[in-house]
Amino acid sequence: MKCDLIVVGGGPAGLMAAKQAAEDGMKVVLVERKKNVSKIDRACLQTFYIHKITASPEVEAGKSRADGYIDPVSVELLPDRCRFHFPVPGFSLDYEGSYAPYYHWIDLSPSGHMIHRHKPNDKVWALFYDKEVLLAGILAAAQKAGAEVLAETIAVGAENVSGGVKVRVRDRSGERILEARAAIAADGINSTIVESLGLNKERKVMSPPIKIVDYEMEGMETSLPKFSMPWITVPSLSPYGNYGICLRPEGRQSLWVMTSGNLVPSELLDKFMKYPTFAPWFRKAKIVRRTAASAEPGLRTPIKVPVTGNVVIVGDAGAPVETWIQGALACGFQAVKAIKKELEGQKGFPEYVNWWQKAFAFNDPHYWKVAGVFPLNYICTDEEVDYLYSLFEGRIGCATGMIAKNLTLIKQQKPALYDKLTKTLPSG
Amino acid sequence: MKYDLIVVGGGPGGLMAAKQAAEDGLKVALVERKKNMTEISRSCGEVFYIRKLSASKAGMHGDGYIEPVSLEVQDYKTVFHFPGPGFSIEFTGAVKPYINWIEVAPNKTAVYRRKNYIWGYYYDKEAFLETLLEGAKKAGAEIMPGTIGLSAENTKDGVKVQVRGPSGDQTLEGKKAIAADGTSSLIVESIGLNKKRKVLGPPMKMVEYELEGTEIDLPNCSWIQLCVPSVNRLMTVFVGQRAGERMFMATGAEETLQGMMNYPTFKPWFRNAKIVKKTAVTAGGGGVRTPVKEPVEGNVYVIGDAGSPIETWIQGAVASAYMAVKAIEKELDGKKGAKGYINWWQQAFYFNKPEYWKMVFGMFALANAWQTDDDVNYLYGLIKDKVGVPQIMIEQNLEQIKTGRPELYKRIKEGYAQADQMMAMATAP
Repeated sequence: MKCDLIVVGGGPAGLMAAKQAAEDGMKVVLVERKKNVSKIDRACLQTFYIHKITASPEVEAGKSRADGYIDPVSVELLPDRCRFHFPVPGFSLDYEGSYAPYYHWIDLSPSGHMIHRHKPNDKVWALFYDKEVLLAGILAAAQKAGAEVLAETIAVGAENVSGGVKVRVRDRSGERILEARAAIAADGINSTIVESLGLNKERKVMSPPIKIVDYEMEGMETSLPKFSMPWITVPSLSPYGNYGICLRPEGRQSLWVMTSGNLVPSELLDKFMKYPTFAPWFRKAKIVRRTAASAEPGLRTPIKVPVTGNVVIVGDAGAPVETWIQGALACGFQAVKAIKKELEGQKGFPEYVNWWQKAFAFNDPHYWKVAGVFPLNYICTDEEVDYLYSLFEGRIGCATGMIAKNLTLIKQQKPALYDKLTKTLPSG
Repeated sequence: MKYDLIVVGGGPGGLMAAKQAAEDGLKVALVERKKNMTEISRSCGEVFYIRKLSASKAGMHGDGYIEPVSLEVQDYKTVFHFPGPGFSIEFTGAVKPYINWIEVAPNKTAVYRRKNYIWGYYYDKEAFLETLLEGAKKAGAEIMPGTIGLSAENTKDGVKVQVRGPSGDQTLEGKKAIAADGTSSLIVESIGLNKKRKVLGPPMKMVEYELEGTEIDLPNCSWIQLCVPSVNRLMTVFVGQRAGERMFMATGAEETLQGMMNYPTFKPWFRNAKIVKKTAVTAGGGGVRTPVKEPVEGNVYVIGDAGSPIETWIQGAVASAYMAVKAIEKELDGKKGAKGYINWWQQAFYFNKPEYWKMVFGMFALANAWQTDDDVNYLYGLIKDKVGVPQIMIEQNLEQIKTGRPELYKRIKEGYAQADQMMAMATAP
């Protein structure tokens, strides 16, 4: 024995925790599976969300409400860099990589009906940023402050012991036990630490395994406004998930394919690129990179109390889908503040638990009430999605939210569709 | 003495001054020529510059206000930060990023001065002025719309400002006054500060169309400059953003705007375009002058464009207002403030630096040198795959031009020689 803190996982949450702990004078060890810690090998939107608009039908058009991390954040554009501000936890991070603004968020139907979630051409609602550059910056700061980083090391499990925690890790030379006064589980959505501590027992699995594949392309030419993030619903191609397009550096764009079950992502990609509405976008397109991410055995309900013994759960390790990079960073910071207090003999964990329960939309029962409403891919035909989107074309808001507000009209015009839609409404 | 401070002019500088002074507890009057004070009747780029890139070889610095600023995008709010003076302004009006700055040759060869990063923002100036005006009123400033500040006169312990309003002429008396009445300032003239300024050229005119329905096949969020000698040899046409889907185009003369809209390369952009607003502005009524070197005369402080050759930008106007008010407050407290403001003014604006004049005249030198559309096509063709300031990149390719187009090369060299002469005149003591 023993260091003050072991951080398992070197993504945004883990790196932020290691940096903060080291800067606060703690002796900290970070273990990460990958050799090149800050390199991104899994699909990630790499978006910093500023104005967030959800699918909630109860939210007025144009009003903001978070899907993931709720606390307000802001981005400051300085002459030579960006600075991401997190006013609630109370920290800022500088970023000097490339970025691109999003100022359209579009729901798109199979034949191309568009619904804008924000008033077009008005505000930047999010930024694409290069996650690798951000993580490399945090990693460098963590190491500079004295954090020890063990790369190519897998954490197999954790166990609370009196006055601390034991973390079993495996690297090329075999398995060993690391000991510390506290640990942070930052090993993502399929966290082995969370599993080893038995915290998954209380969580319900809500969906089949989900897979997302990100095809980064050069030369994609969409007919949509520039700087858009379109979410495209084409039931005949993909009954389980949407397609999405997001920005990448140097004018590249990524096509996102979301799938589940036996559907093969490359086939879904192929079908999309041949679908008449979208085929012209890919005439000159070339795939330059493919990354994937998955949730197995499926999406789980969130961890309600993300502290057990001396282990604190941060980021996606405790979330159903995702905390977003910004939520993960905030978690890393908050967890360290809580642990620091506990190590100094004060109560820190209750504050963290309390913050966790308020800071994320997925901990709000309301979120779940609207999350599963109107899964159009699953219940509609392509023509029905076209019809629904055409009703609201030119208006500002979220497609499913507007459907919910106009059910009477849909009942009059398409009773059968109305029946299918209302069957998905929560019974209470 | 009725007022602590009389502010002449209700643009960004004057409104900021009135707001700041009133918030700090001063008794303030503001006079503004227009009845509807926040309505923009004069052409303005309406850009908040974050990264500034001049045509000077020295690289990145301001064309106007030099001090770093930043813009913070919050949830449904924008905050403009001025860390130099040390204040921030919250804004809820429309903002749109500028991501590219593209200079376009007659054959549509595009040279990117700035590419794929946010270097500035369009912001709705009317909404911005409303924000400042509301703040000034809320803090208790007395606002007098429809009133022109005609002249100012320093007295033993204050200043008298002659104004003409809806009910006739009157004299306002205050301890201090701020001249924020823009590039053709009557106040600056009346207190004799223009005598020390050299006239460098005729007044600069700008005519602007605000347009709906343009179809510009260049990337969104771009500031575009069209360089077509056969339409106008000396003036480029600027194309940029306005609120909603609107765009604007502006240049020195209306026939140039018309010429560009009918030029074969660009005509398709305007096929379905409708002009929804027309504005114009004349900068430097008595001619473009060298800046006011010492912007304090007795109890009168000069801010913003009133003391500049052409423009301080909106951000420079606001910053100088804040600094002037802080200096005045010191003076009213019996401390020294004026000297500090003068020093700040001389450091904060690019037009107070010799490099600025080198840039301005260098640009004209090049515009003088190219005579035909083909000249521009050729020059921009040389640098079309690079990102940077065309004037600098062309200068770096002079050897190639010497072989390729000896006549053009000769004219460019002559232009540079003329520019050096102009430069010597502008910066002579």
